[in-house]
Amino acid sequence: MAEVKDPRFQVVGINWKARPQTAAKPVPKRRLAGKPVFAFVLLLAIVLGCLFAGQLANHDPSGYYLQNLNEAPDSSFYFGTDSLGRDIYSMIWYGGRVSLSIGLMSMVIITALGITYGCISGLANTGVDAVMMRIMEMANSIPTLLLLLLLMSVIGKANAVTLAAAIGVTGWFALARLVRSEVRQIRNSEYVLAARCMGVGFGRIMTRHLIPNFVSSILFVIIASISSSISMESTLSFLGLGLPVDVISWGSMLSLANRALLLNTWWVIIIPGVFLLVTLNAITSIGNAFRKGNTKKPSNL
Amino acid sequence: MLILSVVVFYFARWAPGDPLQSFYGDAVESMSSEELAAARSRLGLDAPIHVQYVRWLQGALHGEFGLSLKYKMPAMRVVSPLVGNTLLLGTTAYLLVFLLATFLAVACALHEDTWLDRLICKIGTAVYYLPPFWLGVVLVLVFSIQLKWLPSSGAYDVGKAGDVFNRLRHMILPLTVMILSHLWYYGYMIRNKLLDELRQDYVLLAKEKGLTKRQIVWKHCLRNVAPAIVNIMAISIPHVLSGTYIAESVFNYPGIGALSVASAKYHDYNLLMILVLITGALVILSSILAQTVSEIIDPRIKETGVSAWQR
Amino acid sequence: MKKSSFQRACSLLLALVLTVSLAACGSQNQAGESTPASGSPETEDLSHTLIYAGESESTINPLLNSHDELPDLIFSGLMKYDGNGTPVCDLAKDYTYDDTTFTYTFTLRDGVKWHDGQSFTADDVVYTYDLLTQDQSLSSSITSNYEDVSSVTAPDAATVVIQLSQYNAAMLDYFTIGILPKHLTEGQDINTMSFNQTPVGTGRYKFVSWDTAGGMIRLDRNTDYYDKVPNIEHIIYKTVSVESTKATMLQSGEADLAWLNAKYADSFRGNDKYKNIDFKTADYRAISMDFSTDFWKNNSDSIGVLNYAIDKDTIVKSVLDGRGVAAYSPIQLNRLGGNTQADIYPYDLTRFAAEMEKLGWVKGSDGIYERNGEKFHFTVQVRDYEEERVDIANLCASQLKAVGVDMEVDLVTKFDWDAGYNGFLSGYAAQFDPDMFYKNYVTGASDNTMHYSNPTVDNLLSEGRHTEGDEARRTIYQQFEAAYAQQPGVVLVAFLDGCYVSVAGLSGLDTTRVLGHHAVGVMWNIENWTLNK
Repeated sequence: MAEVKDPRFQVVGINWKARPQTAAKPVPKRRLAGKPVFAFVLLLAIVLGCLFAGQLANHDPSGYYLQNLNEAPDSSFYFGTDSLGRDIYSMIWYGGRVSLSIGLMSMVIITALGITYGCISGLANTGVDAVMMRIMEMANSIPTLLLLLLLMSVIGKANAVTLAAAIGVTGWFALARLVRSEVRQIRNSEYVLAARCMGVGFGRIMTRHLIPNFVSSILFVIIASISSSISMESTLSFLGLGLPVDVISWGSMLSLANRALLLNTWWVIIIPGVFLLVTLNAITSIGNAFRKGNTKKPSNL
Repeated sequence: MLILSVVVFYFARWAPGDPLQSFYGDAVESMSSEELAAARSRLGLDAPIHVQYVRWLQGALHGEFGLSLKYKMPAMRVVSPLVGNTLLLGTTAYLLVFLLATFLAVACALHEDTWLDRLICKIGTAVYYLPPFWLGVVLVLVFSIQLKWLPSSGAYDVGKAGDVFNRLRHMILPLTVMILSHLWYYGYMIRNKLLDELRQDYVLLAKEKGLTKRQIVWKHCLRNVAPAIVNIMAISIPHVLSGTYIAESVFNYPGIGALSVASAKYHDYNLLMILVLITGALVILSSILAQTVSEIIDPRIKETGVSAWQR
Repeated sequence: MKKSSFQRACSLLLALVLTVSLAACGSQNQAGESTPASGSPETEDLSHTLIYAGESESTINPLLNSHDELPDLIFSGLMKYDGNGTPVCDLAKDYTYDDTTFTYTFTLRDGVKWHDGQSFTADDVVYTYDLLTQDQSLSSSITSNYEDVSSVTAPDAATVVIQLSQYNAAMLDYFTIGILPKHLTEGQDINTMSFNQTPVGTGRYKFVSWDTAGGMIRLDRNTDYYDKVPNIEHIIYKTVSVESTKATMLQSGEADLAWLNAKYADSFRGNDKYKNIDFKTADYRAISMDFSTDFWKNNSDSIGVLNYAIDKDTIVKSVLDGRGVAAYSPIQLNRLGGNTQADIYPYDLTRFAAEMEKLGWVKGSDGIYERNGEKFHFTVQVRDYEEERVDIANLCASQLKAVGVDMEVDLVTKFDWDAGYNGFLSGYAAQFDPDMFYKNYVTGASDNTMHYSNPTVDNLLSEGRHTEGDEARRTIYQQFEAAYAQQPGVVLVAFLDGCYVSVAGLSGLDTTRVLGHHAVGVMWNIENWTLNK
């Protein structure tokens, strides 16, 4: 789609002049607007904070400071304490570690499953493809949350890894669908055909030829899956099917919101919520930045 | 659906947690092994899984779905009064989500890349990522506890099962949570579809004809995007339905969503089975409905025989 | 194309069948339920209706639900408890006791009717006690209370003769059990019969409807009640599964009365729109160890010592907002208990370390005690929807961890006895006769779910049950307390207060009664309550 600047070529077509003028403008402007940069800095700060939780925390995140119940933010407890005297400030950083790593782990699982399934389905013949799509349709006809409820109740005791696995296993359908349609668009291009004729294996075709071609169009979905996994974790924690009590995550902190409301301790509710929200939004705007690059065509309106 | 039931059934029986125990409660501990065996055979839990499944299926065809282990009555009797509540909540939320999403999308498309578009996009994304349960709790605090405008729980007040307004009042908060947590996901999708549509050549023609922006978007673009929206609607049913689980749990709204959560936690698999099946049936039914609608809107789909998954 | 439309038709058919069967069931159900409800006008005056926010219920049956509020309202027994917890006559007009043959002879009240209009007779009593003593399929935790009953007969329609095999001091207490109607329940599986959702009793209130779609159970006062008819005309029992929702319902005016945990109850204090009614309860929270698991089979000597490491007073202060008291004996608040000699475990970490050393535990490299190659690590299951239980478990775990004992807390919604947990966070209460704990602590008894077994305790509890006279029994139960403290099966943490909150217009609640588990029994004098909304 990039504009061709080579003087040997001449651009022809209806009103082509109108296009480069309007198209050229927003590109640098959007870059300079710096939205992704701001989001990136924020996200980096949060990630670093979580990585160096040990240095940042000034209390034991799993300690109960029973002399300091429901204390508003002050110089010792920066973000206050909850009804059992736990230090919100220290918990935020340690909890972030868990939440972020669940998000990343789920993302890896979603990506691996989604791409593999999508590629197989996209490359296979019509019959196999139809069966694979049917299976997915079936899985898709049950709400994700219900699937997760089933999985979590079967797993019983969850830890961060099994939770991430459960979220990953139930979350890849949309990606697979997207990958499949991308693959079907490029499966008949010469280089793929050529590779298949030469007897190149499926794995190699997938990694060498397919993925590089559609990676840009699915990157947004992959990045977005981090945020959706993080928020799924918090939902499961709230419903009581999440992590065990001794593992702190933003989700488990938020699930205490219910009781904090009645005790008028706003900091217990608002602070983890703000952290979660900022992180999710930062991740999304970074993902969006990847997507925006694709739609440069100006509106006809 | 048959396959679904097999999978869930086997799944359920592997799961940890002795169904006998959820049935008889803590008393199981004090039963002797003979008593346990007797109770097991009375509940038909001693047969191999596939026999149990066939038995269950035979019952299911006669409308018998087994006893709920937690509520100690036929699972169907536990579920059936609640389906209506959830259908009401789910359908209203579902329709409102797409109605509002379309309006927002049009507003964005009309003002692409202006402050309005950006503002809606920003707020939309931010709201979309609010954890729905958290939003619910905050809404309860503001509207039920502080302002006392709206009830915090239940489907209707005492003795007002038939009162439409009363039901609506109880639905406002759960609806708000469900709508806000799905709105922008679809709003953004529709917005992008509309923006793609605005880049079609016929828009230029329409503009040349002297139509206003509004006319073009509402009359032409939206009509062309409509099949796509209906298609999105068709595949989004389970997604929106997911919202009922959280909304019903937070607001203590008696419905099959909250019941699913509770029975999953209780290992009440007879109940969970029926809930999965009902949900599956609802989704299949409404998908067929959506497909029929999209065929009416866009006859091209029927002619080429392209169904949703083959696009 | 053809094939796909065929498939579509098939799935449509399947889905339709299910929906239709569902609709059929639904309409059937509605027909069954709307008949009684239709008697009430659509927009109803709620000024004579008490709305109670309670736990979610599945059955209403006095034999199955021994610590719920509703069975007590709908059913009544031969005896009932008065405000001091002493059994007095209820369905029985009077009784005589023959202490040579250990035989109670009850004369029943005349003209008592079941809520469905049938006459209540001695046959119903015989039927109910036969269930309690003979039915093998009945899974009830209270059957041990009736071990001494040797025969129940009805010489005529107004007389019941119950013969015991030996003297039983608490027997009159157990005659308070609600009587089931024989004509409605005979021959059915008591555990699963539909009667459990449509109960018919002889009590102060009669069951009207169970509206699952609205999450409420409706009761009307029994105007034909044989004793004082209650002032409050209707009761709506709203089934609520989340603790905090009960508090928000009170705040938003959707409920008139609810039992809240201490912290939520505190948020209502000082607000003149509400009343805080604080009952004493005999309800303790403890970490109960399961002696059928290998860990406690090997280490049953190391339970009592854990008490030294748990700062119970601070737990009461923080989790319970001071509304409770540190526990040392399961019956310390009972009228026959409270032997301070049994309070042998002060909070003392140096003592703890010394005792652990005596028991042969040595700290490993990770700071956790070890003995015979086994780490001091055990798992405890905790019900997740009671916040106080979760908080108590968490604090105990953290205090134990600090001194080198690894107690792993697992939150569950329903206790799972087969998952191999080493224990659970328990709650029990003996609000009336201390013999209520016979079923919990005697080897093999009906509620001894943790398989605790101690011959001394067995003997003392059996002796307490079969001895006459309060003074003699007090000595025995205090011996029990001391013996139990020496070799406990539970680590007792605290007794809870029963914090009820009501709207200001409700009056008549009487706090002289000591309440039971989950603060049950608040409605013991509901006939005297008045409501001005």
